[in-house]
Amino acid sequence: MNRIELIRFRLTAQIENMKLISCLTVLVFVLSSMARADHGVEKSLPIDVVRKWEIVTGDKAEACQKYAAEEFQRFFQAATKVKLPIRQSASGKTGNIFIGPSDGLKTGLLGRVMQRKYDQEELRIVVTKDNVAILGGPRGTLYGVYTFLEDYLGVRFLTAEVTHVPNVVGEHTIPLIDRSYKPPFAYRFYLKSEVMKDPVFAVRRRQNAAGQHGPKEQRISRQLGGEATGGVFLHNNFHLSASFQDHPEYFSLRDGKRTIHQPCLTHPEVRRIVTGQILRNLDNYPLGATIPLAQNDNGNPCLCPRCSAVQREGDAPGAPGISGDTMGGSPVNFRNGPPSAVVIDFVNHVAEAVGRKRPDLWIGTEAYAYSVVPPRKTKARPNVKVQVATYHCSVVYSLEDSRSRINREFTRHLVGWRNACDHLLIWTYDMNPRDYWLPFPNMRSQPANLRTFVKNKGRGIFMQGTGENTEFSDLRAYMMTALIWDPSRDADELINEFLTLYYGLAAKPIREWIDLVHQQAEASGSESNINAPARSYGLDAALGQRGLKLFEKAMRLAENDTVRQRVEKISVTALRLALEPVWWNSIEAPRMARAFKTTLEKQRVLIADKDLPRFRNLARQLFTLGRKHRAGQRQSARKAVFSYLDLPLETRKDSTK
Amino acid sequence: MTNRLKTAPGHRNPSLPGKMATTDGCFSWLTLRIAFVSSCLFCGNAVAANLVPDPGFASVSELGAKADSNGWNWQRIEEPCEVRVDQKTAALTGGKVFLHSASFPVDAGTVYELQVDVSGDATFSLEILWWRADGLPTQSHRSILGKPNRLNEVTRTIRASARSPVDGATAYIRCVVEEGRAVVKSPVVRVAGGTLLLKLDAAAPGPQPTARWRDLTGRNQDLKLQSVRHSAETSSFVFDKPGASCIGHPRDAARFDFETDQSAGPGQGSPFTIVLYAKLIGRSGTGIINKFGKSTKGGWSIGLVWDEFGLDRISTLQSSNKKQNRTINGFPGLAGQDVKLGATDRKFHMYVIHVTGSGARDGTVYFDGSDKTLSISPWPFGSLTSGSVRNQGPLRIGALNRSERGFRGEIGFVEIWSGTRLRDGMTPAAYSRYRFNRGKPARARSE
Repeated sequence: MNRIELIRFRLTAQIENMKLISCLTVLVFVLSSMARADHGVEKSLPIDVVRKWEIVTGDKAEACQKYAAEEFQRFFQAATKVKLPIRQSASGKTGNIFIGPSDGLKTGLLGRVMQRKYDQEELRIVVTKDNVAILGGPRGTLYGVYTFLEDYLGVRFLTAEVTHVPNVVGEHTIPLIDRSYKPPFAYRFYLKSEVMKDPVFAVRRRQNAAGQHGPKEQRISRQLGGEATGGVFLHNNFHLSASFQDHPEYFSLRDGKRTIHQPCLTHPEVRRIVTGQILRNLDNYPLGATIPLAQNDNGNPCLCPRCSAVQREGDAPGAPGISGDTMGGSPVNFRNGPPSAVVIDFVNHVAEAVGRKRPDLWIGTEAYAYSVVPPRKTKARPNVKVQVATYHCSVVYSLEDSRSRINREFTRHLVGWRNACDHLLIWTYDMNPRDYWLPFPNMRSQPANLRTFVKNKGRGIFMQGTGENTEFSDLRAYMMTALIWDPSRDADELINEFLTLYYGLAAKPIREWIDLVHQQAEASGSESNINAPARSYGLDAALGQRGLKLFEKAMRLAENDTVRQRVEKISVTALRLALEPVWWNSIEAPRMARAFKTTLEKQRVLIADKDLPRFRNLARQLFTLGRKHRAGQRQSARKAVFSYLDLPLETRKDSTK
Repeated sequence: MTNRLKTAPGHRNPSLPGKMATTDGCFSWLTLRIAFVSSCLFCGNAVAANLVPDPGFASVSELGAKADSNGWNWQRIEEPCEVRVDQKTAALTGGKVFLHSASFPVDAGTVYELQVDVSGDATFSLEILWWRADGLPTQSHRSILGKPNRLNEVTRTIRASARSPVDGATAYIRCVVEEGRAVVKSPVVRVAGGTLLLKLDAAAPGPQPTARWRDLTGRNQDLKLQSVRHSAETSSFVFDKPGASCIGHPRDAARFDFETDQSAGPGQGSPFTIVLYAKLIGRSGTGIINKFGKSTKGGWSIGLVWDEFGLDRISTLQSSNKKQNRTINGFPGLAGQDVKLGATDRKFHMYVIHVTGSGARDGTVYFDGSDKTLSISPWPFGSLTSGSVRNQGPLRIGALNRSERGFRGEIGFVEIWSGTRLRDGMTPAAYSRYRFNRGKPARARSE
């Protein structure tokens, strides 16, 4: 385990000083109080009783269940100062904390809990006055331990480096309960360095997947519960190995010419080759694996007569295609109907062949860009998974928010996919790929989106985050993993909990900053997707200035240097926004001029000469802090901004004042 | 694949009989549809059947959800595209348009000749695409039979050849027409016959059997004998002295330079086959038929080995000028491997040794008329031949130099064929059975 930071819980003082106290933490103590009040009827288990108990794991327990017992022992000791022994068999009928299934549990007073099977990720926690049982599937048992530590001892896994463990005193009690939980998303992968860099932390945050091509040390070992499979399908040209040079006829026909962008999915040889390649390699796929078959990352599907006929899904030529918003796709792609009909027709063809030989395997494909609009009639075969991507959705509003026309459109597509496919996965985004320092106003919409995915039978989540130490990295890592595990959680509570425990007294102005950003973005009516400049979300330099003031306050409130460093790191978000006119003129305006084939002058905004010294100072601070807190390599941005402001590029005298 | 494009109106390719050129570039067919094989006037080869299904363009359509398994399909690459059929010709107009034949079976590692009559004003090229038995593309998938050529209204016959990849099982041809109109007629694909480059038979050694051994093909000058004696009784030449060898004339040396894919390009190496009727009479070392220059230069060698362990085998060696770059194979085994060929009984045996031209660890050897190849043991060490195997040295049968004690035995006859096929288009396996003639191989007669 990494360093455990023991923070004395100064509940009273904090309630007096601020209203941002974690409701969950309060809940623990409220429950404790209630338990104390009802002590006479034994509705709770006093912690003092548990101090004398033993942890019991079965001698045949799986590696991750043994690890679950060690985790319980470790954090129970950190909270109570008592190290419970771990035994392979129960020494008595009472006084046992059973972790995972065991003979002792089966034959003991809680034997009933082993009368049924548990899914891999399902957990069950039973607390009686005589025994505690935490069990479930192999991963579920480990998750059950973390749930117990969080809900009944108040432990919080804040970051890979910082775990909040309260000092659990003698009067603390645990309610008598029998609860189960099975996460709605069987596949949970938040692509975020803060989570991935330490698999131990990732598992404490209930992540069950890692980058397949990432470093070995980031993989989730069997001891940690192992990894769920079959969740992310990357662009892979549908595995077509033939080259454009040899076979231009295998590729998309657009504007009367074959182009390399996408394969022609109705070409009989394309189908034969892709199917043949996959069938040849079937023995290499483990039981239940998913074979990805996904389009390239561009918006240019084949529009040849054969593909167009499949797109029409049986309708006659000339029948109306898809009208209205097509989620960013070119209208020409939809003239004959949704191109996804061709994708699913192709994927079904492969899936049928695979299913005949390996019925346990899945074929996974993307609903992304031009294929995000679902087919009207075509259904995916039962062994097909579809990963729906939210790339084109508005980030400010939730998917079901009536203020966003694009999101309502997407939600209709999601419902369409729910009807067209039995097994949906979601690729969603938690970052602005254009600018990792800019405040990203999705903390209100994303939690609701996760609930929309659950409602529409989404079975897995891949959430794409930013690089390390950018924007609100630490908060997002905590908040998003909690919501992916349990989308019913209250996001505000999670934010407050993290801010309070991680930033202490500085939490209040930080929370104000987050609220300001989201209020202004929502008020703007922005329908922009994840890839947009500040102004597209209604964010401007004036807001940045207000943020700087809030961070000045937060820095003053920070109780020690550790917290000051944490506050300083996220102050980059306000600095970056305060510099917006310069950022626009030096980075975005050239892009716009290129994209719209206009002059730079037409794109740039006016900056008064008198403001330049202030912007120079902000720029120096921004890039100095960025470097100090290792918030990503922004050399090209620095070069553009410094050049625009006539600042020397080679200077080493940047300061943080 | 070999890419030998010949687009010469009025020029006749002796290896592609059946067409006679006229001075205005128009051609008439002598024999287009030949049931299976007939002998070739010029080289003793055969004309195999045309493998292209529907050469008269009876069925031509744009490719739909399923390819026409018997006819032709066309595909639009750059619009506008149009294909029309009229009187056994297909007229293609583009943009850019592909016309594909139906696929047809091919043999692996075999040279095919292609031919098509074409006229018009478009840019035209001819390609062949190779497929494996499982329907996937072969490693070397597309043979471009020359660069695209601008046509004119005079009909020209395009001829080319290509060697199928070692994993090839089926193929189809593709006519590529760009920026204009092309009228395509009479496409032909057939197996290329082999060419007999050398034929020596001790039963007909020529007029000076003590000094020279006559080449019965008439292509090469007589081979000079060195420490070799003729035995009229056994119709053989005896190699039992140090340095015993028959040496070809330097002027004929280049005829036996068979390049490999490693330097000539994928599929462009030259396959060849050696037919040998010989007996071992004692321990034999290195090659029996060799084409080497200086020791540091590249070359090839076929060995008939009887080693110190009493084991026997055929070995093949191809080497570029770097000594570590060698392709060595043993049939059936290599030094130290306890497998026997059965050639140490001091009797004559017949060997058909086919070298594919790939330069890789492959090839086939047929023993005593069998049509099943001996098992191959590729030498696993070092690198494959990476450079050219061409050299200035003459063909040498027997010892590599005056003092070497290489092959020890007798030779009845030797044939060297270029290409993947032999007489009448026979495969090496079929020729092995035919030539061995159940233990009584036909011998030449003295004039």
